[in-house]
Amino acid sequence: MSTYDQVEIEDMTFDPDTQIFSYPCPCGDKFQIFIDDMFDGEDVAVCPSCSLMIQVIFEKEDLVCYYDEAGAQPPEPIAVAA
Amino acid sequence: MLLQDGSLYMTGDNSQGQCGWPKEVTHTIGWRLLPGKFVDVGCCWESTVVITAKGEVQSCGKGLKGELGLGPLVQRSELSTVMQLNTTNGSVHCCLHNVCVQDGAELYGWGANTKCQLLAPKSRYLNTPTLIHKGTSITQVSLGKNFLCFVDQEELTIQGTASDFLPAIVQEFEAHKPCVQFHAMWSSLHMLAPGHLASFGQGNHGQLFKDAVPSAITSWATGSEHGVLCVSRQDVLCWGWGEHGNCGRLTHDVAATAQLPDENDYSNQVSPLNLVYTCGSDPTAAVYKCYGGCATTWICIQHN
Repeated sequence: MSTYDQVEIEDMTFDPDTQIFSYPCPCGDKFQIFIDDMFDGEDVAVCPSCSLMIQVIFEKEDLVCYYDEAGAQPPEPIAVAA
Repeated sequence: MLLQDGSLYMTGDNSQGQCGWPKEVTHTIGWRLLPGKFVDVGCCWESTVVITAKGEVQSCGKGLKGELGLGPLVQRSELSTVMQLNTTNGSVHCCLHNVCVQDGAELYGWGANTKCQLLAPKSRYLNTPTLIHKGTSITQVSLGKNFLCFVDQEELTIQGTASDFLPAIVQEFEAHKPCVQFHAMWSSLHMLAPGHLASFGQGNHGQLFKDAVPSAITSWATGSEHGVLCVSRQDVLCWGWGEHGNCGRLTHDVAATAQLPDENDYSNQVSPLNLVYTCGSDPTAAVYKCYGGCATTWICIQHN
């Protein structure tokens, strides 16, 4: 899967209310990705108005301060019965 | 849209106050005149920067990374003074950060600075106008999403991510100066000289120009990720990322598609140089200038 660009997490904007990171898309809309999805390993942010995507460059520990800012906790692992 | 008499018209999204209207006006479809007279205007992501006829640099809208240049203030729906120039000879240049030229000699910048696009060392942002260069004859300024390019006394400076391409750009610039014009897309820089158009940077959506350069280019511009050329004041051609129809269609046979002739049929997502408009059969019309926006192409036509 090819992405339009790679963007470092420090260049994205974090909304503590929605817990979504966003970054300007050249179509005029915004790439978006939910912090819990990033915590679970997702690193591709998508634009709701076009086909472009960006890869977000981050380490899992980078997310801690954003969870603190939002007053939230990372998702708990879900136990799966055998 | 700034007219030659200094009248400034705004249209579009005002949800963050970026058009300078009260916040109750979330958007407008038609053009609305802003009170006052202006000498320049630039559009950042969710904010606007103007220079008034009295030399005041003003901004409005929203900018979480210092884009308003108003210190810690991140949102303002009325134009507010960022700085006072000592002359009305100024210009503003905006992308995801902002630059203002005072009297062709001083360059002030504010906004995101994580890639040293404004100043070294890197910082998250500069939220007030900061002197980033003092020279004598700044003739060109172009901004990508995280770089800055300017020419002062025929010396080229590039800051931020595009500096990775500096040796190649300088080589081309030295070979063609002083007849060189720069324009930037968000992630690439383009250099036009007589009979020559060179591109540097990201090209994964056709942004880098690879076609034969048309003769008699009378106007050119770049949008977020596409370019626009006007030839002989008659034909307008585009190249680059064209997903939204901003580079025209590749299927010119109307009967072959279900769409209307002017509708985007998504046939041209990565566009070669493609004719999007011609004055053609109208002898009274000529293309005055062309502009590029976010996946949009703007053509200004003069009727004699």
